[in-house]
Amino acid sequence: MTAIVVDRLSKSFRVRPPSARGVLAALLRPEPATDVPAVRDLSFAIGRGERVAFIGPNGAGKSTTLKMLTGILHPTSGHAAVAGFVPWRQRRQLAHRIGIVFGQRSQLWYHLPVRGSFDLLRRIYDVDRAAAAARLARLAAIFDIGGFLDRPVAELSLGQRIRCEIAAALLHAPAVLLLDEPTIGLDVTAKSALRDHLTALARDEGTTVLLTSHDTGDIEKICDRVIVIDHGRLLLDEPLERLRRDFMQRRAVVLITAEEKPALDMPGVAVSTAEPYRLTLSVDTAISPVERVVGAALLRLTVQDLVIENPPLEDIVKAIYRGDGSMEQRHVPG
Amino acid sequence: MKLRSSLLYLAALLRLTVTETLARPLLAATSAVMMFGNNLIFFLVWVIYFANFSNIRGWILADLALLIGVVAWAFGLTVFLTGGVRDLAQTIVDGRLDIHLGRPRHPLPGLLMSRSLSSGLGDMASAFVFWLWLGGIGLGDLPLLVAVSTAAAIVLAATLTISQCIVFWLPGALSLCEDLFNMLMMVAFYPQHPYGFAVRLVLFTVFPTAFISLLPVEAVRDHDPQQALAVLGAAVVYAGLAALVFERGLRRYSSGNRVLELR
Repeated sequence: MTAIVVDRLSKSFRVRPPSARGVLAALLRPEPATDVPAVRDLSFAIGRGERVAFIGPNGAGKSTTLKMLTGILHPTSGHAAVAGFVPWRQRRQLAHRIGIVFGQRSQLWYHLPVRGSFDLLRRIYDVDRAAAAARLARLAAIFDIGGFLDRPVAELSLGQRIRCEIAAALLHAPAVLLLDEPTIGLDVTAKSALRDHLTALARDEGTTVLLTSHDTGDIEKICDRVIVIDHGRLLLDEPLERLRRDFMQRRAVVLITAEEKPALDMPGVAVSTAEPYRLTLSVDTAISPVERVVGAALLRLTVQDLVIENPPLEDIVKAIYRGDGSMEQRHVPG
Repeated sequence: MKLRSSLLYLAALLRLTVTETLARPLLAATSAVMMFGNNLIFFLVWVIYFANFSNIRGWILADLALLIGVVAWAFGLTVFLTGGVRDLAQTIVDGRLDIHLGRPRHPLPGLLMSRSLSSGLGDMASAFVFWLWLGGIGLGDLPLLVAVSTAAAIVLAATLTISQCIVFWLPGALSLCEDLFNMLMMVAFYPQHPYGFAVRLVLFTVFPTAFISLLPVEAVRDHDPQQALAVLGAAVVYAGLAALVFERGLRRYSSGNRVLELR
């Protein structure tokens, strides 16, 4: 069963450039408006229960697409259906079937205990008291938020708050969860915990998840399929495994050493930057697994600190562009 | 069923916004007391004025006290219950309607009641001082006074909503919204005796301070039920108009984008 269908969806914004001829001239003879395309002929389908990363560089059209899928924006052309509803025509009916989390926007009341916001959400979504209590108990268990439901939001850490935000978006048991940069600003521990909670939710409840993120760690831990867009166009639609194999096998390993000029020569390991007491390596994990590289570094160098990083999303997109012609628009039906 | 659900939602929203403001009691009390004092000091100007002039086209100091009490109540109630109206334009320009649009409710109540200003309590408390002590109104007139002043609050909240919606069409007009608010309050706080037709037309339509201060005062002072009904009617009309303008503006928000709209 399909949860989300997007068919040749396009969105352009009409923009009038500021006049260089002064205020009066701008009023009397405004500059002609131009159409700026944000999303172009985008098509994909997502099955029920799938966990899909929807990624791309800044300005790729991710947020515009998400806003069209929630009914906030009207498309210029094309069609979409989410949980069986056309978002921009049936926005309020659709709202009962989807949960939305905008990572940088809160729907919790800052100075009140978390529970107060849940009480309001119960009224917003018309969930009866007993069902809401049972649902909240379940969400509290999944997201581990039971301990601070009675504390004001202002007293929570960012990680705790985001977990509450996501639980709030799920109080009405939506079939589809749309997450826009949910881990932005979180530390490593909080990110890891949130990823585990989201994976557990999708596994246990069969919730369809569509996630945008700049963090490749989110994509790897939460999703099983990746849709990449750039300049509003579909660039790639692949199972995560294929993306991981083809484009995400590199890791950055940063070594802080006692040696002034550290060096590590291994197959599949390239030096990205070399500075006094600091060496950044780009590791092709298909040739040399990270643990082997770290092991070799610990043996051969006096390592004082080390950091292992996922490749930045921009590098993955660049790698996709560098791929052969057939790589540029591969599509796997959902 | 739908009406019951809507009323329960509004009650929950109201409870939450008021509770949040009162969750910081010291801050709330300080703001309220400061506003209370501020209103009394503002009235001092009129005391000094009327010490030198007996009336302004028939308006005496007691009428002014009545008027300032009505406007203080209307403004206090507006910002205490629907404080979000004060930064509605900024919310629109910042693209912060998204969360409200993703919900199965009309976004306007959620936006207006997203914030409560505790200074409104000081305004409302000062209204009783203006009415009962400085305006010389009897307790018997109080229910009518509260009713017409509450209707005036609805007109005020609706007018502010309409003026803030300007940014749907002119995204850079944030300061214009603030100027309109200041003008509206300034005119509402002054005695509005019958001017010429053009001025009356403005005060009864696009800049409806006649419904916010003039008619409520005359309704109580002259015991005129027609004036009271006119204010109540205006409350219904302006509330509907605000919802209509907001929905029309929303179409532009729907076809716009935060970043591009700002250009």
